Formats: sequence, C-alpha cells, structure tokens
Amino acid sequence: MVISFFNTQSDINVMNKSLNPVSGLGDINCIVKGQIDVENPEVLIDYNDAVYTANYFFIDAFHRYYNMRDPELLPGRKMLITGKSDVLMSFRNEIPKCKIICERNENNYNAYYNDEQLPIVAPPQRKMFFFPDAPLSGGHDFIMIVGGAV
Amino acid sequence: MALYFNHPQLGSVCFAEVNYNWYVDGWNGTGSGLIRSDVPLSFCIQPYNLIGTGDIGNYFEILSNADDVNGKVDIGIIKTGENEYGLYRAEHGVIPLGRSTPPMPFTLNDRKCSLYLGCATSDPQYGYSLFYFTDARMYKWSFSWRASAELPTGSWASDVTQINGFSQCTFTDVQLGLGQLGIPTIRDFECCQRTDPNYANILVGTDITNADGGAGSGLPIDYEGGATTSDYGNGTWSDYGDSYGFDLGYSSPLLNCGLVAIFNPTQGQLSALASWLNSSGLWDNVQKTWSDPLDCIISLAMFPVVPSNVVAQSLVLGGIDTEITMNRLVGNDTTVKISFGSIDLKEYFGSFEDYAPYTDLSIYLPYIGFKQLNVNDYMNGRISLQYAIDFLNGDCIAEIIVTDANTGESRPLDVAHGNVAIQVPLTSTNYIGAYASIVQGIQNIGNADIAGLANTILAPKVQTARGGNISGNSGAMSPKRAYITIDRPQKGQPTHYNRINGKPLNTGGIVSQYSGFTKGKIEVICYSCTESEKERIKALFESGVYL
Repeated sequence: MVISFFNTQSDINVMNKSLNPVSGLGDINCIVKGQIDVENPEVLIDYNDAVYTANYFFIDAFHRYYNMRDPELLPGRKMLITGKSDVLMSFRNEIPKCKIICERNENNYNAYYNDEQLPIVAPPQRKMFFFPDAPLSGGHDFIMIVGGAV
Repeated sequence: MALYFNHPQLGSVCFAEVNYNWYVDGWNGTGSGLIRSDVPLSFCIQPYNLIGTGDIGNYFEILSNADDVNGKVDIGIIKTGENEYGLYRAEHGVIPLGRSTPPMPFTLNDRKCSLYLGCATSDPQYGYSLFYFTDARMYKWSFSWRASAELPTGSWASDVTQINGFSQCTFTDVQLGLGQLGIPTIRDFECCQRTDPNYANILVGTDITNADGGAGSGLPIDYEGGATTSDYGNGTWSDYGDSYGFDLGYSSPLLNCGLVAIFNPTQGQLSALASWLNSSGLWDNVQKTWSDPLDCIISLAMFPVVPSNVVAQSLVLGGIDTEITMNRLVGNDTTVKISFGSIDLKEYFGSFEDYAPYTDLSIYLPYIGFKQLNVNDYMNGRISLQYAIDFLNGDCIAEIIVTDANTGESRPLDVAHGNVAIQVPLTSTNYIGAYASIVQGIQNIGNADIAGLANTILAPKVQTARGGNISGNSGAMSPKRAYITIDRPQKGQPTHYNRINGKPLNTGGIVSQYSGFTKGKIEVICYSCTESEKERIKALFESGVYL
C-alpha cells in the first residue's frame, strides 16, 4: 500500500485543495496498523525526517485524502501516521453532482433576502426630496363666505 | 404566448405565462408575464413569427423588475429568419451582435435590455426569432416590440410594409428551439395559436389573451424561489388589481341654492367693503340698522389658493347692494384640487435594505405636518401628492398615491387632512341697543321731541364684540413645499464579507452550479462514502465550504 505526503495551505473546508509534494518524500510504502479504518487510518512507515513537514497525505488504496495528525515515532525506526479523511477533497468528483439548497453563496446571492448577519450601523443616512411643484407657496388670498339671499 | 421550461440539469419546472395585447396597426405591442424559477432560469422567448417578404425586424425590450435579478443573463438567438438572422443592436447591456448560439453572456443594466433583431426572408417564407436566457433569475418581466421603425435603412427593414400577415409562435416552435439546446420542455397547456394571413379575424387593439385559451392569469411572485403551484392552495393566482383614478373633492349644489355665496375679494375690494360698512350717511344707517350687513358675512379667511371657477359680481349683503364687484365662486364644486407633482422613489442599495424595517420613509405635508409612510408600499414606485381644499371651511385632504412603475397601476395608499384657512377675526356689530333707541325715539314723536328723536336715531348705542378664531396660522408659518425624507441604513459590510460569509441566496440546484463560499443543505449521494463521511459532508456544507 502506498502513501503520498503533501503540504496544503488550503483550509479544511476547501473542496479542491492545492497540494504541494513534500521535498524528499515521494510515494512511500506503508502497512496498516490494526484494523482497517478508511476514515481514520493508522499506517506504519519507515522513519523519515521529511514526514514532519507534511500535513496531508493520500492513500491510494483507500481513494481518500487525509488531514494528517502528528506522526508518532515508534521503536524500530518506525513512524505511526494517522489522519482523518478529508471528505471534500476525497469526493470532489461526486459532491458536485449532489443536490443542494444553497442558503448562502459568495458569488451568487439574492440581495433582497434579509441578511441578518450584516450589521447595520447608526445613524442612518437621511435624504430629503422635494415634490417638484409647490402650489401652496404663493401668497394668500381672501375667501369670504356670505350668507343670505345674494 | 406561453412558455414552459425545464431546467436541463435539475428538472425543476420553470414556467411562465404571458398576457399581452396584439396590435396590427404599427406592429406595436406590449406584453408582460411572470416567470417563476427555483433555479438559474433557462427560458426562451419567441416573441413573433412574421410572414413577410424582404427584410423585417423587430425591437424587443425586456424589462425585468424581479427582486432577484442577478444582473447577468446569458442570451442567445437561435434563429431569426430563414436566410439571415442575427442581433444587430443591443442596448442597456453588452451582447455580441450577430448570431449567437450557444448563448453569450449578457449583463442586464438597470434590469433592462433592448434587443434589435432582424431577419431576412424570401417571399413567402416566414421569419422568426427565438432567443433564450440562461442563468437568469427573474420573476416578472415584460417586453414590448415594434416593427422596423427602429431598424436602420438598407438591408434591414427595407420593406416592412410588405409584411402581410403573421402567425403567433406556437409552442412547438419553442420546443423545437429548446430542443436544439438540449433543453427538455414541459407543456402544461396548449399555447395560443392564431394564423391569419389576411388579417380577417385579427382583433386590432384587443386583448386576445383569453380568447386564445391561456390558462389562468398569472402566478404569484415566488419569493421563496423554489415553490410551484403544487406547493400552494387553491388560490386564484391572479395578478389583477384595480387602478385608481384621481377622485378628490366632491360635487354639491350648495352654491346654486341662493343661501350661501363664496367670494374671492382682493385687498382693495375688502377695503372698499370696510369703508361701505363704516359709512355714516343717514339712509345707510337706517338700512344697516334694520338689516346688519356684517351679520351676512359668515367668515372671512385667507387661503393659499384661489378658486378658478369664478365670475365677477356685485356683492349684496342682507339685501343691500354694496356696489362692490368681486369674484364669486360658481359651479357645483366648492373645492380646488392641486397637485404637487411626483417623485420617483428608486432603490438605493438594490437590496433588502431598501425596505422596512431598515429604510424609513416619511412625508411632509404643508398645513398638515409629517406623516410616516410604509416604505414597502412606495419603493420603486412614483409617489404623487395632491390636495383637495374646500373653500367652505379650509379643510384640506392630502392624498398620497403610488403608481407602480411596471404595471402603471395607481393606488392611493395614504391620506391625511388638515386646514389651510387663516380665519380673519371680524368685528360683529350688535344693533340691539340701536334698535331699542329707534323704537323709543318713534314713541317720543308724540311728545314732539323732534330734536330728541333725531339725536336718538343718529346716535344709536352700537355694541361691538370680537369674534372668530385664528387657525391655520401655524400651517401658514411652516414650509409650503411638500417633501419626503428617507432614512437609509448604513451598511456595515466588512471587506471579504462575501468571501468568508457569503450572502443569502436560498435556491435549489446542484453543487456544481455554485462556486466560492457555499453554505446550505446537501443531499449526499456518494457511493464510496461511509455513513459517517456523508454526515460530515452535510455538516461541512451547513457550516460553509469553498467550492
């Protein structure tokens, strides 16, 4: 079984992570320790200093990428590599086909939905707009009401 | 015309119905309709299908007033005409001219695009255009078209007059067009069809929508984005609403009954009246004593407006002709209607912040004061203000009307009332004492006290008292121009807000339709995932992922 180590600067919630191979650390043979757990594997490799610079690995046999935990040095110059599967990267070819109700999105949004996360600061901007006509702005005229037979 | 579409990937039904008028004369027409979609919408419009010769063309204006227009539309023209086709001019946006299949990106500016389509046909071929939108989210739209007056001379529009008939597009045409795009269609009801090359049965200027068998009269605006008619009850789904015409004031025969008259004297005429009232001639005093002219003046007030329906007439008080001519209000209406014009209230942000409770709207009404308005009622409308003022007592009523910019429907949504009259205090004269003196003087005739009689009559004991109230003065001292005030919220949106937080969308689709930060509920269909991993994928999407 082959394990490949990488460095990634991508956040854990990024689906398509950018991966950089670790210098001096190519594909390495490994063996599974204990029972196979594809989601949280534990594999043994021969000691290699370069492993300490990696934070990500891929196990071809499991078809999964993993966020790497701190390696554990074992007797006999062995290293225990553990990780947790990166479900976004591992299934990046299947997830795009899934149906979604998209509640929020970076590039595509409906500005008319109330975004309660957006703070409104005081005071508000106040503007005044006059009606174009001012029929009551002139002077005053007398109106006299007269009763009786006129 | 009716349009029904199915999103190519989601299978979500998008459908629309268009009600429109058809005019043969001038080839002008307008249409409007509703389109509902729970996804970025793909739809086609085949607005016309002309039978003609030579080069013909049409102008289309597509105006979206959707709450949800994202500002981008992919638009393409499948076909215009048998021989030539293309788009030769577009306004309010950017679109490559000419034939554009597959669709090209088109950006709506001001939610509007104008398209000039042309096609060349050879007699007796017919030409038609079919253009379509993708990735558009619009709920309401309208279009208008007119024949080639907008088309340039030359190859386009050389012989519009030779258009000798038309037939409305059939849904089959639309389906065929959509088929070319690989877009499946759903047909809910028969599209209207009418073919009449000889104009024989064309109803000029008549709404033939219902005659053509359209079903229903529209669909409610789908603010939720994904609902269809099946998600609602048995409502009418009707967009119909009555429009309101200006109808202030009232009609009354009051001025014709001879009991009351309204005069509009000038300052000089009032001065003349005052002089006449205070004149001291003997015969005048006798007349005024027996019939006090001032008692006939019910009120004197100052108004900021003057009546228009007046005639010049000599003022008669208590049967005594003052011989002072002044304007007298005639007719059946004691009110005057004045308009302050209108203000177009447009969105500032183009977002929810333009509406309540974030944006406040109030109006200042002269002689009335401030009034709070519901901004939701007026936003994106034309606010008109008019007053009716009653000369009988100075009462005024202000009517605030909003006209929908898209439908043209006007509705009075708020009214307020006040009083514009500044009452002038009059000095009333009490002749009771004078009358008693005169009677006593007559009784004294028997005593041959002629001198005493004369003194009594000529020196009546006249009492005066102040009367009347001053009102409307505060209004007169306040601003006379009406205005609205808008309090807009200030956005506190930090940099990178969209990138890190996203903004509300609330649409259904498939993940591949979205990019960047995305948050939502996902249905995970993944054959190689463990159950635990599926739950983790769901949890990640609910907290937000970057695609």
